[in-house]
Amino acid sequence: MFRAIIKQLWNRKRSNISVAIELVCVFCLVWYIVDYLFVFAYNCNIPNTRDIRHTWKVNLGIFPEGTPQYSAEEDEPEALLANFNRLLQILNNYPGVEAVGVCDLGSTPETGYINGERFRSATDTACLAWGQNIALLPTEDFFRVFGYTSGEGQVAVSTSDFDWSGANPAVLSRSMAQALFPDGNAMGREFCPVRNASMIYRVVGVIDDIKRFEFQRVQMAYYLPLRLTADVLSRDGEWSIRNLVIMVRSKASIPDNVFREAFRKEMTDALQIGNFYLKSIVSFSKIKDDTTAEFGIANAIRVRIYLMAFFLLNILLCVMGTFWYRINLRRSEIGLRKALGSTSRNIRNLFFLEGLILLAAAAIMAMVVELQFVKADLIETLGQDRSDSTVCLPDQTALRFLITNAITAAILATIILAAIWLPAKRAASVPPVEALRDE
Amino acid sequence: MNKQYLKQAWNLLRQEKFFSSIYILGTGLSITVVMVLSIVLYVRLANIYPETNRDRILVVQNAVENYEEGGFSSSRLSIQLIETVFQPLESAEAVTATISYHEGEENYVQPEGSSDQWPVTVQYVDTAYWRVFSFRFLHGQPFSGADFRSGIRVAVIAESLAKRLFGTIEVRGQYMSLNFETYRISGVVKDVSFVTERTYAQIWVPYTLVPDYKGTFGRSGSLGKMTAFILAPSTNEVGRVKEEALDRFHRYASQYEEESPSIVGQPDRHWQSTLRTFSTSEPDFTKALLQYGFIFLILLLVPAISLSGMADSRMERRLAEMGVRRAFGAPRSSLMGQVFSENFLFTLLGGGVGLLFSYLLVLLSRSWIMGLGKEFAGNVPDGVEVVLTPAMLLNMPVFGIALLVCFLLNLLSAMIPAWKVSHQEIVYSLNT
Repeated sequence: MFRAIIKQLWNRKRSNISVAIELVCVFCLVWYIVDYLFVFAYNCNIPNTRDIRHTWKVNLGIFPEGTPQYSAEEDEPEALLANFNRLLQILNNYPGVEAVGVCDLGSTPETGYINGERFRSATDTACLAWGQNIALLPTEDFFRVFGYTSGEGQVAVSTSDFDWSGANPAVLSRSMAQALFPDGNAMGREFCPVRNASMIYRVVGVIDDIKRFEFQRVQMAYYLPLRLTADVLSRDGEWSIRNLVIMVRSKASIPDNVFREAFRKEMTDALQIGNFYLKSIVSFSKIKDDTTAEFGIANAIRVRIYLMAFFLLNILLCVMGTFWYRINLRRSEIGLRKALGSTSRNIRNLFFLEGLILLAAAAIMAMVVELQFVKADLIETLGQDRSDSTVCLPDQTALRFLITNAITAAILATIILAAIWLPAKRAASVPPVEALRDE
Repeated sequence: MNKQYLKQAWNLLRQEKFFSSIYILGTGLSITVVMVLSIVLYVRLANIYPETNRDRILVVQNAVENYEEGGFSSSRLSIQLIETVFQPLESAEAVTATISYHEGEENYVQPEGSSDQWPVTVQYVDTAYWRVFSFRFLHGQPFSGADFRSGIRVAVIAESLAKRLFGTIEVRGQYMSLNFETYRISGVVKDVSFVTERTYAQIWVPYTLVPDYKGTFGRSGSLGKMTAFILAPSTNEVGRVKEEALDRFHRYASQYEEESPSIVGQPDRHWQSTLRTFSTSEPDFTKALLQYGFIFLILLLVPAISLSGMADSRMERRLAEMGVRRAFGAPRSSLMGQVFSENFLFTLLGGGVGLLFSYLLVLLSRSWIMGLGKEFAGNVPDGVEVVLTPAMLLNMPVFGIALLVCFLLNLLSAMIPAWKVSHQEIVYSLNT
């Protein structure tokens, strides 16, 4: 049967060649997209301790000078600090709020901001790590707002679990602790910036890893305390109040839109303290979506999925069209086979096999073409950081090549079978007498 | 003769309904995708309200300082740079400086008698802005030069905002509260769609209201927070204006040898400015054009191969007919002509379907599709509908592109079958 099919394919090489060329092209293009989506999906599945469900960024405004609501007195640093603390207290007391956190603007999760530095272990100069700096107010609970966990059992942690009182305390993310102190025991150890060895930080805790964005890999991070005093809070000071971001976690039992509406309604007046007023409350899910869109990732994914659908539809129509024609030309053969005892199923399988053999041939050629792209280093790996030595599955080129090609082949096989199914069914249902008479 | 071909093709189409519909669907699919991309590019590049002068506008978005000891700073332009280099340009019709992104800002309007706040987008502009861009004033006029110079709180607002705030557009001289500050309204303009991102706003106010609009970064005082738009008197004179601008900039830059400020190849024409993502290096425009060309080619070629295969199968069935025509003396060219015109009927039908479908797709996905292919896409602000006017979609250039695409696709898909049919041995053809 196999040989017969090969012979059939050879006899109709003219139309088969155009189908095969089309298959090779589409195979390569679909593979390129599958590969991108594979890496994307892989990254999205890397666990992230930061849980942004039911979390909100509370945006405050400050009445500008000269407006009726403005009070010069309230703009004094002491008053600013007192008002800010009162505001946090009110937030903490709000019934729908589970936890309140404060961090500096550059540490806001799910935004484009990032700052950080390269560190080394204080004792071993070979142990290096670049980490993102996250500066948080230790008196509020940043960790609980984002559901941070720690250790084997993924126990929930709270900011107050750590001792932020000493000189330069730091909490490390697990991967950063591992990089700086490979022996596995980081607690109480010291590390310093590569560019400034006299600035010594002491590890007061290790927590689970975060990802900066869902579609990226683990981001090493270190958490430092923010020290808020009246003199650093003044408008022109190092830490203008505008640089602080307030976030809250709402109770999971309250639906998000209900919480937002209630919060806006009930807190607008309550949060008008001194020169502060409530501007808006935005969910971190929204911030995340906006950042994904801004970085062009949302569009990159959409466009790739649409293009893939386009290519697959092309293949569907191409195979359907050519096989419809082919089956019509071979009605007498089908009639003869049926007369000799083939069932409709046998005949359908014959055409299915024909399509799959064509696909197999195309797949081999396509893989040769793809290899050239891989060799020329034209294949992008989302989230790859070449300075990071951690090896993930997407970095294992050969394995990834096999997996993504297998996925591509499976997708195309499904499409081809679907395309052949309709014309083959029609052909197989023709009574043999009628088919034979066509001659 | 051609009419005869088309009649014949029409009859064939009706005889082979299944096959024909697959063929037309395939064509339609291809045209849909190419047209979606074309419409996006058209909206991004063509003259569209209020940026109706895009073909004679030059844009300078950012500048860099490269320091002798290594390192660089880059940012938007300072007002000093714009005032000394671009505003005195003799060949330009008008030069405007704008601040479109005021750091970390969120703007809210406080409607009277309500504790609600409405988010709005604000542009900070000067008086030349209204000449460079063609806003249609429905009521009132732009703020005056005197208002601008003295930094008075005065605003031009969009029609929709005026209606929402006051229920009418006749609001010149009325007051409104923006971020708790009171602004006098000087005029109302027709709404701007978010697709013209650079001019999109609901409120336009003098940039002299931005507290530190004169602030500079870096060392030479060239870096700041402004964008410059230069309007040339006509499309032909854009090159001349650019030359003068470059010349003036070189003279300016020569004062600062240590900082060596640069505007990295700008001023850009509008289409070039849309390709500029990073401030420190000039984009490779040829490469970008080649990339777009390559994408168009792939989008046409993939369906063309499959269509070509299908057309080939169809022609195989009609070899005998072609053989007879050849035997009676029809030249090859006329056979090829027949195949092409027959096929063109199919392609045109598919093209019509495809164009309609592409409108549908663009309308359905308008909230994101305009950011297609951009490295950093601007987010549509909360609650803002991206408006596509009929004029953006139904116009001669778009129809023209659609027809051209049909023609190209037809050429690509019918070429091989036509060649094969007309060059087959007559005896062979007759024998099939």
